Amino acid sequence: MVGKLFKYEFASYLRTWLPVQIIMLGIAALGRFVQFFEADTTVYKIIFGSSVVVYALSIIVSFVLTGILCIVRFYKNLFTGEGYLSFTLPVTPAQHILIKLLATVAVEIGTFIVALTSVCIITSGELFNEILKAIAYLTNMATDILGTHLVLYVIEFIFMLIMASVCGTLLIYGCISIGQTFNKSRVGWAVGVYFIYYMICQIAGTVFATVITLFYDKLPLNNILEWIEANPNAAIHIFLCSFIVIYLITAVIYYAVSYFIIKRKLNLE
Amino acid sequence: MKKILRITSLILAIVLCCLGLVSCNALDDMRRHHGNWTDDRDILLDGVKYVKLPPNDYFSPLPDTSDNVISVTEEGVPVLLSSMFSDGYGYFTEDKALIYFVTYTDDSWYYCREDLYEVTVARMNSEFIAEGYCYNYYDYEEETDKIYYLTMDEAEAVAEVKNTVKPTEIPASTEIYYDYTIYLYECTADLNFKKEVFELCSNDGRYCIVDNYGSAPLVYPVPDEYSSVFESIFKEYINAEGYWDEEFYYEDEFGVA
Repeated sequence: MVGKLFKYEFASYLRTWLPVQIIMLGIAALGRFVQFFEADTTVYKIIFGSSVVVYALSIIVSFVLTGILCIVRFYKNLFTGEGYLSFTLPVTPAQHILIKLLATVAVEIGTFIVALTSVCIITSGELFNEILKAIAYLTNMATDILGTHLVLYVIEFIFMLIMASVCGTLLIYGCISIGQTFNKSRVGWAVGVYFIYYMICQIAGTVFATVITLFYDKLPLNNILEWIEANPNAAIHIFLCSFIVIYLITAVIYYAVSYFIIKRKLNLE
Repeated sequence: MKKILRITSLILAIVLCCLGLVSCNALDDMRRHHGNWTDDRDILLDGVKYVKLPPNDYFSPLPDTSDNVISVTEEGVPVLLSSMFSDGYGYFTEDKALIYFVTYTDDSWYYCREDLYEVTVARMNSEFIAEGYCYNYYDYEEETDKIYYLTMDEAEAVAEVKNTVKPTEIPASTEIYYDYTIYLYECTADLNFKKEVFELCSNDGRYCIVDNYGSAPLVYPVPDEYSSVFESIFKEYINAEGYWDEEFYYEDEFGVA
């Protein structure tokens, strides 16, 4: 059942997501086509500049639309009239959240890959070859300096990005879940919860920075900085892994909020 | 849906294959300004070798700084990374026979096209014979350094003032402020060899020559009959440089012959 639900979830995403990506690829191809007529004239510069601007906007729209699509799918499918059907299925609330999360992350990764493909299209030809050469040169240089640490950094960084995506998605799910507990203006309440949470994080961050500044002399920060200077590779690994752990912990908290509300405080329209 | 995807992929693949045939003018331009060091630290740029010239006190052809900067890197650096990994920045002279390259460690050298190297070195080794006067200035409109070569009348007027007017010796610690100061060079007619000789200074329509190369600065006030000539010398400089808001403090003693 879970597999089928995931398949249909994915299919419903694709119905809206796919045309947007095709349009983005088409705009990239058009932008590259314009370069067939490359010339040192004002007309060409205007047209080429416009094509680049439109292309950049298409990438932004694609990412924004993906985010909106994921939010709307979660809210509509679980907390509106559709929710009555969704919760009659033999699927637990945990599975509902997980399926939505996996589909969202998959679609976000898909958007990123399509955006990269569109960059390849718009730069195709000599420019793309030179970009590949530049990347290869920098990679060789980084390998000479970092050795095997480079591969680990890349893996940790990719994992950190995926965790950041998961964490961000679950945060939004948590806000939507809290918002739906109210009878009126649920979306407004969800947005409000998000902003309150954001403000609390900002205040906590400011307090933390102030405490660090005030007690700078008493804290062993110099020792830490010396250690980082002496062990840069280890320091970067610890930095990346710390972020992965932080994202994991916060993701679990946001998941727990969504799970608890869906299981105990469901308030369908 | 699958049919649409297949057709879309096919069109994209065809387009991608065709687009690979198109070259990029911007890249070609970057390649023309990206040189490589040879084994003996000469420059290979756009298929032409430029050989490092020996140092010379007077050899200073003017680089064309309006053109794009030339970057020089080790062999193998991709053209997109040329400015990032360049050891400095360089400029062609207007005839593209020479490159003026400044490293990030503040060394600067001239490099000559290989086929002109022998001729240029022979010229550098020959005696410096001044054929006129000139000064450098920056043209903000064209965004490049320029040289103004004094006309025969202007050069004669400068020489006349320097040779006939009795100078006033200024204490070495004195600071003198002028509206405009031109560093004047003796130079060859082709402007490739220059030797700084003295300064021409102007304040509110009055002019003087300042010689700082002796034991103490000497000021040669310009007589009124030469004012119009000196005004024409300064014209190009003033037009290009704009107004300098500095005061002239040496007013009381200025003008004493």
